[in-house]
Amino acid sequence: MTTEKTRPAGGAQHWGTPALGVVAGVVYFAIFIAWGKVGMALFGVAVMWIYAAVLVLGSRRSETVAMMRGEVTDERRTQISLRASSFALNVLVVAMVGGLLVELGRGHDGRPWTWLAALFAVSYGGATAYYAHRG
Amino acid sequence: MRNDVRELRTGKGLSQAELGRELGVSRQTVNAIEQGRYDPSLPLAIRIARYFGATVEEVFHDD
Repeated sequence: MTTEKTRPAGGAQHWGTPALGVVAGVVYFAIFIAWGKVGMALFGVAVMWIYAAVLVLGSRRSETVAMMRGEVTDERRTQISLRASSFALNVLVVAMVGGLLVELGRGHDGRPWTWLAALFAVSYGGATAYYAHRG
Repeated sequence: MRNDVRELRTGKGLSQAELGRELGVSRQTVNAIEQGRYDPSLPLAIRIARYFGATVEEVFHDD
């Protein structure tokens, strides 16, 4: 057990997510321009750049925005992040099972939902075993 | 869990942000601990108690 302080958010943690948003906007723009869809290209880059700007400008005012920016800087924020990730994963699982049932109901073999469900099961089981072993 | 962090902090004339900096946590986390919305881990509870020159039992009350 250590009682050392949590390190404050560093440069990569502080700027990583906004930078990813900016880069994703450029990628969206390039892809849609390549397909000749100028409107979608401008919409895509605008959405991602506005998202990045909100993260940068809003992180001082809102803890939620700060955490979405990647500032998970202490144990409470780590717990919040884990709970939020778990909740989002549960939403995804429900959507995955729903998609699988719809595909099976249509007479298809359920792909790609079956592959996603298998990936989830294997990764969840593996991670559970790993962390149970580590204590 | 009830605790005396707010009283101890104000007794030292510190803001939540200043105490957060001393403890290496966010201002919001100090606020959540003071309001009893978040129970700190044992390492953080020890850090808080040591900072105020007290024991964990003197700062946090499980009743």
